[in-house]
Amino acid sequence: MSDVAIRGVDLVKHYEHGLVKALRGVSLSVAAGERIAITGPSGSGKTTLLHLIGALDVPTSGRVEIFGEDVAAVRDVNHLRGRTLGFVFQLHHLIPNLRLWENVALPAHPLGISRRERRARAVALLEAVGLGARVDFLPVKCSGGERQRAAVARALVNEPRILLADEPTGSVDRATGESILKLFEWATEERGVTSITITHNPEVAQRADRTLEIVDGLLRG
Amino acid sequence: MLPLRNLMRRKLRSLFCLTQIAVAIAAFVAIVGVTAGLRAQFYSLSQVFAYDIMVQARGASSPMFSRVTPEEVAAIAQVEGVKAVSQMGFYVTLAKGRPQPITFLALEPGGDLLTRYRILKGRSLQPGDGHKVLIGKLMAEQDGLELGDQLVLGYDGDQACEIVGIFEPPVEGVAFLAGQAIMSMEHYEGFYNLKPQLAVAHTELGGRASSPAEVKRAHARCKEVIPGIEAAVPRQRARTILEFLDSFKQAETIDSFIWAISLLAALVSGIGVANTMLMSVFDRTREIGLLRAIGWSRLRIVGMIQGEGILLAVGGGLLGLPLGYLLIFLSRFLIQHGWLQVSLDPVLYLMAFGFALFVGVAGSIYPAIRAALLPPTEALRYE
Repeated sequence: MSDVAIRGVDLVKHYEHGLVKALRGVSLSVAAGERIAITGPSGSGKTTLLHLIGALDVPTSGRVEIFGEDVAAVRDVNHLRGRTLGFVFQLHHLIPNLRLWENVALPAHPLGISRRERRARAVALLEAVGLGARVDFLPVKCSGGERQRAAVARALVNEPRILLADEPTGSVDRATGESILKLFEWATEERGVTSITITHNPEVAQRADRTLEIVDGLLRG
Repeated sequence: MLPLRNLMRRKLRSLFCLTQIAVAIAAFVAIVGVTAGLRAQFYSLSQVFAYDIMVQARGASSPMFSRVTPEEVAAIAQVEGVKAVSQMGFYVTLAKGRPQPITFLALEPGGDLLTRYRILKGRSLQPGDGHKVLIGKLMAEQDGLELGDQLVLGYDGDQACEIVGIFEPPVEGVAFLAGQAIMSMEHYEGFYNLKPQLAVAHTELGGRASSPAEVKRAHARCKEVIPGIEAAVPRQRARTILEFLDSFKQAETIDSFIWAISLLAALVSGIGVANTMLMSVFDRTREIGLLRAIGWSRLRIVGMIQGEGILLAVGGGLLGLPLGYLLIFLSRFLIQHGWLQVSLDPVLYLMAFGFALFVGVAGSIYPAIRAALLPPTEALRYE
């Protein structure tokens, strides 16, 4: 088993037939269990990098390795996304007609887990993130902070080894942001999850083991 | 049950789509029911006249424009395999106090064809019966006619005929035959100065096929006799009942009609499903992006969207079946006064559901593929 959770090798990503050069040769290595923050100005390529690491997009050139396995060679990228990776986005993206536990359990659907087991997993995680009393609530009945915490629970439901977060505290107040960061710390410390968090917030970046800055599609520092 | 809950999110939109499918199913049920009824009538005719050969003038586009002479009838009777020959004439006229015209058959009293009509009341026609007619039981019921009543025929209502008998036609379940009337060939030729239009060569007296296989056997037997008839009366063309019915091109017309209307209904309702599902996919672009990001495969996304389409189709089918029966009921009793025969067998249910499922699956294919092909990164950015 590789001690390196994520390796990006000379990642280049162009859009619009090369007119937009989002990444211009980024290489990085993240150890298993490490907490990384990626900062940088808007449009610098942070989200693009996260999408490449998360197998949501493919690089124009270069390669991504997850625990030593080249993502481009992975036969079932859906399985990789569903089992190894967990995503938290700036917006919670909860499905409005599903109850909180059903939203949290969504990543478990493709794994063929029974409804009872899905619910048990989701309820346990909702309790862990302080939403035990909201299990059967629809998202519309929850506050913004509660929804974002539910989104974190959803990212963890399949016990991923890597947590990727794009501005997870960007749309919540300070207190909620703090609770979400504590959830991240709990996930990394208790579950050994590797995390990469994109943030504009210096306080969030300071709590990471290491901060990488990306400017104009290139990593600094 | 994610597809069902997705549909419930836009109740009104889903209801409109479901109604659209239901109307298409109703139209399908009504059309197929009626046309299947027509087919059943044609099959009954082919059973009753299985051993008969229809002789009609070459080049006559319909029996109405045909003519057969007494000499030709005598020549046909001499052909080997022919046991008897009947003559037949057609006459359509108006009757006083009746909105729709009456179709008269002119038959020979005592002839094989007339004996196939079962007399329910009164008597059959006899030689010398001028201005005397038989009417079908449906006409008697609908027009409230009884034995001894007068049918006043002609465009000026100047020809009165006495009803001497009420009959049941030889082919059960064929409403238009029960709505006809019969006059004697003598009256037809003498009073109206008309000539027999068809000769019917009987290879078996009172013969009737009891199964499709027997219809085929009888058809083959008649085919063997036909060359002899056509040699004896070169001006005439002889055909089995199956060929005669086919000459009306009814079967093809019915099939074309069913397919054209069904395809149109499927197209319209399929577009409705596609529109609904496409709007739903647009509305849920970010959701679909999220599902892809958390590990849902393209196939699973296709399954979800197709599931919604199939649910709409099943709902439309459940609503459309009773609606179709209602349409049939209305058309039978309001438009056709009970003359329309309808076949409603279990196969029709299956066909209607198959039709609904086809509409649901076909209508949601494009939206499902579109959803599945959405790149997750773009879908998540979608505003």
